[in-house]
Amino acid sequence: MVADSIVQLDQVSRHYQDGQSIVHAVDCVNLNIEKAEFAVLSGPSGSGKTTMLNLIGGLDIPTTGKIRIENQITNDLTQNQLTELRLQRIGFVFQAYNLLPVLTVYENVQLILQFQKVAIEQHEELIIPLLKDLEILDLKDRFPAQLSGGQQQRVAVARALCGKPALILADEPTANLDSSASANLLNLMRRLNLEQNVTFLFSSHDPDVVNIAERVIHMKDGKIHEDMRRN
Amino acid sequence: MLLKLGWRNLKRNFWRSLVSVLGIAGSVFICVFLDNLQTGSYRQFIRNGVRSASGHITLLHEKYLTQKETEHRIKLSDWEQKLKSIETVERVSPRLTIPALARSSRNSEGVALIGLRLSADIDHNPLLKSDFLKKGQWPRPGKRKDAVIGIDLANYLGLKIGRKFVVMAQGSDGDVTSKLFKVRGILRTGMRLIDRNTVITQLESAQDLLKAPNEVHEIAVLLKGNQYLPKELQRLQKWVASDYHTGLRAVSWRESIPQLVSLIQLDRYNGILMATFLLIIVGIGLINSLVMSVMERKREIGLLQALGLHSAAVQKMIFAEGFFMAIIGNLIGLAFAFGLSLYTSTYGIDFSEMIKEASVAGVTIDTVVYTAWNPKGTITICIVMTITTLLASWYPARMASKVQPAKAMS
Repeated sequence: MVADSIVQLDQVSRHYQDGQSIVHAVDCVNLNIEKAEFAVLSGPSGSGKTTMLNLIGGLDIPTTGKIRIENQITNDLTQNQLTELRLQRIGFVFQAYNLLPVLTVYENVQLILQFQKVAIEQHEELIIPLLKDLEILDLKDRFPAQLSGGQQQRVAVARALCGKPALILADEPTANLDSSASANLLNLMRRLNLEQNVTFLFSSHDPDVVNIAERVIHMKDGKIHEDMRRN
Repeated sequence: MLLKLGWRNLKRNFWRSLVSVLGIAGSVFICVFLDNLQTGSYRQFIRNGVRSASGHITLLHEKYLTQKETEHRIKLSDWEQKLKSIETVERVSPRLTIPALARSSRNSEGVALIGLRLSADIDHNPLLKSDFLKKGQWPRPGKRKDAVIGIDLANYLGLKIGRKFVVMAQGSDGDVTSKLFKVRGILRTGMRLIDRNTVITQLESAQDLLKAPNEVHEIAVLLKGNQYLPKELQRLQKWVASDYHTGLRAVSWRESIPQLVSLIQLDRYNGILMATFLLIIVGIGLINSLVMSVMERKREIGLLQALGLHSAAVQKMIFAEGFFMAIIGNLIGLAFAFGLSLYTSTYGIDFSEMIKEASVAGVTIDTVVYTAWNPKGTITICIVMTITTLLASWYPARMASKVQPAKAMS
């Protein structure tokens, strides 16, 4: 157990049955992510990046090994406890289809506060500064279909941050964005990481993401091939 | 927020939601309207039943209740005056019904000779509606030969207004007795039994035939409203208790026209059975609609669970969608049922083209039926429909709660 660690993977494997063969999506991985890190899981498609994020986020259960989030072993948690852990401690930014189409920008962000049962009087004071900070305040009454891809991802980041999580997991957040929108989003997340000490863990094979990250964990065939830190 | 999500999800696939809502609305409309129609027709049956036959309460010989034989008579005594003195009594109609043989110079036919206090019955007895009197007049008070017969009987016996015929029956002494009558009027009611086998005359004429003055088979007591029945029945049962040795009994119309009660019950059960089938069909339609909606939104449901929405809350969201459909469907269905029932409660529905026999279980029925509100029935239908909708939401809700976020979003 490491004092400042937020995520710890201890000999974690995730195997799937695919017909007659077994797929080793993640294979005996040991990993330690520290608080306020800005790390990226890189690697080619099928290397196990998304499975790693799903395992860390409690969306999937490891076949073997132990996962700790803030020193709590998640393997033994029930589905409801995992849901609660995600709600209180983890924010998600997905590649696409991130937002609920029937809710406005404001309501999409508000969703998390509702789930967390935060008093409604506090919603505005929590959401408005965040939207302002992410430069999407003027879009607050729009529906996702009325936003560009970059704007939608900003809303997703706002939603992920709104619940004040300790960890944000972002699965290929720039995959559907053009280079300018992608750069803007990455700069924004890096700024939030530095200013608010939020831990970010991405999965991406986008060179821009890899370049901005302070730690690059390169995966290949379900294993960590290389773990590189930058100053 | 879950309610908001549920509501907006319904609006999202407008046409599918509309079809489901219209299914609920249609069922509510049909069930409520038919319930009102049943309620209205039952009220008319009962009203006609109590006015033409038993009254709300009947005083009769206890054996006459099960064996309609001539000798089971009661003494009219001072009952008529005594009953009239009750404030809630509208009318008192003593009656004699005698199985007899009507003979003319041409033919003879078995009939029921009904002796009525026509002055008391004429205004309210549906059998004595002026519409039914096709020729002639009603028997006059004091004119003991006056009789009204059905049109088929008149044709069969070859009788016209003013013609004479003889009625033969068994008198109170056991001997065959006969009496001459004169056709004063001819009826056409549409009821085979009345038109072919009935002779209506003044009560005293029937008593003459039986040689049983001051005796009747029944005293029908018509109250000012059905609501007075329990109290007055109790009172009359106490009164007749002193005459118990004579076999006198006071019974409600439920006992004296049990076939009408059975008919109403049977019709009610038929209605409930139809409504049940309707609910099952609507329920299946709703399950289909909600399952499709869940399947289409698997990714979103997975996303909601990934973000921290508990599976119980996912179920609530789907139930909320079903609940909204139930509320809207109920309101639309009620609005249409209310509108049509309001119209038909005033103008009625004319079934004369469909109804050839204008009597059911021995009771005159009106061919124009007026709907009547049955608030208890309406509330029950709305509650049952809402429960059906929620039950139909259960499977899709459970399905939604089982969505695996990682799989759904992959």
